[in-house]
Amino acid sequence: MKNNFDDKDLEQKVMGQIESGRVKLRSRYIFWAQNLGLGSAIVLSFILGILLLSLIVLSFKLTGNLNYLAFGKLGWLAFLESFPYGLIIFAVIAVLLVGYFIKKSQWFYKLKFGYLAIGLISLLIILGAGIAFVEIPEWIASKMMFFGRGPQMVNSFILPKSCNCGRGLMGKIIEIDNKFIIVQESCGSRRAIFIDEPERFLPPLDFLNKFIVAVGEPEPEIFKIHQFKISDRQPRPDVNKNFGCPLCQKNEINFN
Amino acid sequence: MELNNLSDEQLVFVIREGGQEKYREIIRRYQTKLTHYLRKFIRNPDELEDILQEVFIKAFKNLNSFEVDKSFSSWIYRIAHNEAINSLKKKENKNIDLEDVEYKIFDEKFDINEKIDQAILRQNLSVALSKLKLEYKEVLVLFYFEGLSYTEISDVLKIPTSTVGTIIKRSKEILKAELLKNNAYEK
Repeated sequence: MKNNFDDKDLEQKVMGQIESGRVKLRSRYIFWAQNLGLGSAIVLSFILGILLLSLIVLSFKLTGNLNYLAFGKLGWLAFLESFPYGLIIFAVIAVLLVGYFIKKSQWFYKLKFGYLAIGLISLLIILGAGIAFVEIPEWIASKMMFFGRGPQMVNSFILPKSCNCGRGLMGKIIEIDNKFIIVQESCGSRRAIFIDEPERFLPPLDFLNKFIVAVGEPEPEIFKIHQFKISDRQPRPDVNKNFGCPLCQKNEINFN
Repeated sequence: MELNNLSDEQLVFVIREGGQEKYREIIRRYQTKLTHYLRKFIRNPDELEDILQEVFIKAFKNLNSFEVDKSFSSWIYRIAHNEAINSLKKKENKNIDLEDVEYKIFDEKFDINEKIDQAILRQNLSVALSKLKLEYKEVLVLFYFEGLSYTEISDVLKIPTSTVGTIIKRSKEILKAELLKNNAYEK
């Protein structure tokens, strides 16, 4: 093939730079370190993703907000209000980081990125859920109690609006009146539930000390009930026991 | 041992172990191939020479990152590809220059059902190729004009082998449509 430049000339130029020592082989340790760094970044962001996803599952377990879903549209709104959005955002960032590092490493380019992404997200969800069910996040959170800001930090992510959460309410019935029932939430705060149709909603007196899950309209000082469920079992585990409550730690109540 | 008898990968092993002067053989083996490849993207001979020189220097510097159980050819094409893309990004004119032999290859391999007038083919092929998205164009060039296999293209472009096949099929369809459209227009 004819080139418009001299082949020998190019060879001489390149070899001249190599032989003069101006161009040197990069050490293989540099490449090892790069691969090690990239591998570590993938593993760490993957572990972070698993941990955050397990905290999301843990959040559902602890807040019991899945109970709201039984109440239809209003229940969904209550559920969405109590959703751990902070955790979701961080989990998405962690997943994106894993994807970015994997793409940058080019180790898996033979696989279609779509399949890789689906596999990765599925694996993260399965591992995250698995870890949540073996209660590793609870253990980590309890260890964080040793550090001053641990409980607040964990609570602000895991238990968003764990008390006074908009359209949803969960707690123990401690008082029943003609038009009101007083509910003590797991964090210790008390809320009055206003009942405008007592014949339809007012629970009998033997519901005292039982647990209620309700959806309705939050108003200053009171909660106007729309739908509710009464149960002998508390709808959410006693979070105080594990983490303390960000809003009212000094007023802890053990339901059991 | 005769250098001619060594595979690229064996030669790289020798160079890494201290035989740096043997890199000359790598340059000899790949200079023509890479010039041919880079010319599809870079018209200016001076710029082409500079980029080719940069490719060989980068390849030498990073020789320790090459895994000898893989194909050296794909690896050095990858470096050339990256340099070509970097150069293309800086330019507005992204036309592809084809040689006589390549028009022939194209005519034989593309198997366009309607016979296109050779003069029109010549006139329009370069333009039609240039209209293709870069990701399509680079696969076509590597497959038809550089003669690389699907696996090698997959290694050069770091995309799945199945995607290489899909891109070739898709870009052939686009090119055929474009050429037939122009052919009808010219008539």
